[in-house]
Amino acid sequence: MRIVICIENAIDVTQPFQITENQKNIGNCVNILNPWDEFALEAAILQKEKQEAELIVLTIGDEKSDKSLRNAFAMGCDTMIRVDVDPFYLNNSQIAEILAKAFKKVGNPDLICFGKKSIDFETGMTATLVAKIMDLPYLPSITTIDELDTEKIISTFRIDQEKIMTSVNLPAVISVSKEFAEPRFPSFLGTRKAAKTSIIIWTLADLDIGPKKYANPDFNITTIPVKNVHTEMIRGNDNLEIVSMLDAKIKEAGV
Amino acid sequence: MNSQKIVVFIINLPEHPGLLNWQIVSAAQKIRAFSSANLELVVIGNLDNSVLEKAKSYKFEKINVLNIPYTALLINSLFQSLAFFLKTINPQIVLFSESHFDLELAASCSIALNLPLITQVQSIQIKDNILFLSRTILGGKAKQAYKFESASGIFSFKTNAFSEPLEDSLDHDPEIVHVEIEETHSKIKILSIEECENILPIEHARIIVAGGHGLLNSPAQPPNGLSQIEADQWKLNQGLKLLQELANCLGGSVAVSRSLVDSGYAPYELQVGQTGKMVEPEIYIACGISGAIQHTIGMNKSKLIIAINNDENAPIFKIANYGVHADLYEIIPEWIKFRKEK
Repeated sequence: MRIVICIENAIDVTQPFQITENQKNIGNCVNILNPWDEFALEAAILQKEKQEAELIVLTIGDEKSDKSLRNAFAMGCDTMIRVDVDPFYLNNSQIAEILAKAFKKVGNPDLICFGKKSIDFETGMTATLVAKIMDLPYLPSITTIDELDTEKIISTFRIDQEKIMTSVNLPAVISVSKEFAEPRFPSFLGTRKAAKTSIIIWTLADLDIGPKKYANPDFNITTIPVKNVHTEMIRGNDNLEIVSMLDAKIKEAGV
Repeated sequence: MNSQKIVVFIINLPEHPGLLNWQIVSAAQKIRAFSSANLELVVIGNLDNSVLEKAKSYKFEKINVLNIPYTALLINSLFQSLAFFLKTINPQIVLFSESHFDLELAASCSIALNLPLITQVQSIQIKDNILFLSRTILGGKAKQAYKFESASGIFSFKTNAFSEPLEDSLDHDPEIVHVEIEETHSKIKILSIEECENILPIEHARIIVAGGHGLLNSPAQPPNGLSQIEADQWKLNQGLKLLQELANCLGGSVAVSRSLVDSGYAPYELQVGQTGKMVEPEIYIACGISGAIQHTIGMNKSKLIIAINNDENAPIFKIANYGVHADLYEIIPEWIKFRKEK
């Protein structure tokens, strides 16, 4: 069985970053393997532990993405592929289009796994767009894989207050919820192997995508000023006095 | 610009009333002020009287009714005929809410019409004949504003970013078209649908009482004979019950921080933070939460933040409007008592 896991080299939003002067890009940032994608990797690796499976981790990005690819590989994947395009100025559908071509070139993947969304731009639409372009069934935020063989996947996902169990003939696109399993850390051996393994690089031309001139970004990025909070510590002679003050504060807020 | 069309999708399924959301009409009206386009409504599900009256009062010129059953939405068996329908009406702008089904339809729409899809739009501005649609990115630290000189695209709007539109008089008769939508064979077979425990989605709560690792410091003694893990689980359940009681008194919901979910003590639906939910309630009461950035990303847009923590140096106090340096197990019971006595 061939499983492709699509990852993103995301901006670590818990670290400082700078918006470039032209307000079009982010500079001086720390990149990490998108935390949501770790759940997709874990789901795939758990399947490989149960049956014969080849795990291919794939991303779109420049060489800055290699570290995240190697991290994912070190968790337990077999092959790394990078489509060499800076995705920053691409919109959702353009990214999905490139991915769809890349999955085709991988050669008949049975299962394509995504994380639920990215922590930086949070669109969460890539998986479903890819599925629609490739005319494949899409299972959103699955919490368990109850059965997986070369023919079908039986899995469960949750929408609002309903738990839905479905059976789907492969190939299929899935996104994986955090509830699936706690992702493992890259192993020591895996990390060493990842450092020695070379990454397969594909250009847009390799994917038969013409030298499209993607339009200049039609957006501006600006910082949202940090709310300057003045913290008032509530003190009182006893707890009753404290809670009556707290209660008064929430009443003032009109609730 | 004359033949421009703004199409608004709503979902009206009697068995899932929560999916009906008229807020996007406010967004449509704002965009219409920019592009002077015709306003068309697409009703997925039933055109009942209440929907018809609203559609009239919001001055939709045309109503397209696509009577689609819930399961067809679930297994996504409509893509081809939906794409065909969309191409016949050929809109430049299509607007959606952000339920799972709305987003699935939005994705279909984007592929069918070959228009870019922008999700989680939070505000609309028009300046010097340029339309700006903005969304929050990078964990709430930055804003991405898309610019349009002539608007086209598929846009979805964050829940509660816009208020309900104002209703106008009903002296307006929209054209009503019932569109035949044929299901195609879906590769998805539903085996079972199970109702889950009824947890109020925390992203809709006006008041959130949230608990963190500090809940494990309960002074109560667990019953004898429990292992360490069982004893912690017992303490946590006591703590969560306490928070639930306060939440009930205040009319709010309970949420938790990541550590309680990762260690299996609390369900994922309750998690606030980077790999949980982003919430913006009127009041957020953080009890025994230290305030790691992965947590605060998910709640720092709350209008009023109260932190109760027995660690004076907990980072949560840096973002809280009001802080109480005390043991939550002393403050919360007192607060419940205070509320109940009133």
